[in-house]
Amino acid sequence: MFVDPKVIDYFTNEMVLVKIDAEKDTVLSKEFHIIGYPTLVMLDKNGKEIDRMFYSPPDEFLKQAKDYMAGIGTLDDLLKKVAVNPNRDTMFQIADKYKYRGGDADAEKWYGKVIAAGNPTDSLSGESRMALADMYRRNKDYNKAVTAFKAIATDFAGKPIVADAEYYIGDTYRRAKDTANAISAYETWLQHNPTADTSDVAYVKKVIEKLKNPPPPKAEEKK
Amino acid sequence: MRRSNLILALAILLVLVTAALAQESVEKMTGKPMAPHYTNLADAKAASLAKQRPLLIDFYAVW
Repeated sequence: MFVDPKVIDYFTNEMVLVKIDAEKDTVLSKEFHIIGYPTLVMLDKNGKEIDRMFYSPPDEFLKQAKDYMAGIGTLDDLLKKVAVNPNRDTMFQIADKYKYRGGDADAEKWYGKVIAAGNPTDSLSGESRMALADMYRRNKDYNKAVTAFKAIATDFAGKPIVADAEYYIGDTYRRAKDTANAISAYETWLQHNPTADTSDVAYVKKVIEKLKNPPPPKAEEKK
Repeated sequence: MRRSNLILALAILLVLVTAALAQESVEKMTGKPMAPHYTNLADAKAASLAKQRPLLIDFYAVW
């Protein structure tokens, strides 16, 4: 993206770009709540966050950058819009924006509004509930996360979202170092998804194998 | 003496050109940006304020 001449021209004339190695500068990464790479954070000239961007083809990237600079589609803009028209899609976008910038309490509030304003088992509620469960998982609130994913798997039985929920039950148990439940959850996923993408199946089988036969701890090197 | 200075200057030039070409080819190969950028947030913020332009922070990781 940054090698495209139009983008280079844009950064030369309209914006200032700084590249931060997030693995090295962990203080800044924490400050900006960076949970994945790459993450692009746009600040105004006074250092206030305008919004976050993602890598995209040059024309798309430039359009989004220009929109944000004009205040279109930013969190502030969406908050103004939703005050006039309480649209669930806008509420969901607001929740997502809060989630990605680390405003967990606000994200939870807005995902809650999305669910409350519609049917709790429609697709937007499902996405909101998955986002909430994912937030709990990332925040290491594993019991809450597992409960949330299990509720989704029950409430959305027969829908595609269940495959993701069941996968993340296994992932959450694995992160919580609950090996027995992790293996059981991953095996359930394999049983319920026999026609899943072969690479996903291979990956889950590999994880199960590793959980059953963990590699021996590395011997300390002799000094 | 003049000849040795010339050789030294050529050697330095060669090193600089090689380094620049190497950086460019690495950037092309890895998709690393070639757009003008800072590597220090304080400097970038100062430039943003001085130029009255927004700032984009690209948090990346080297795998």
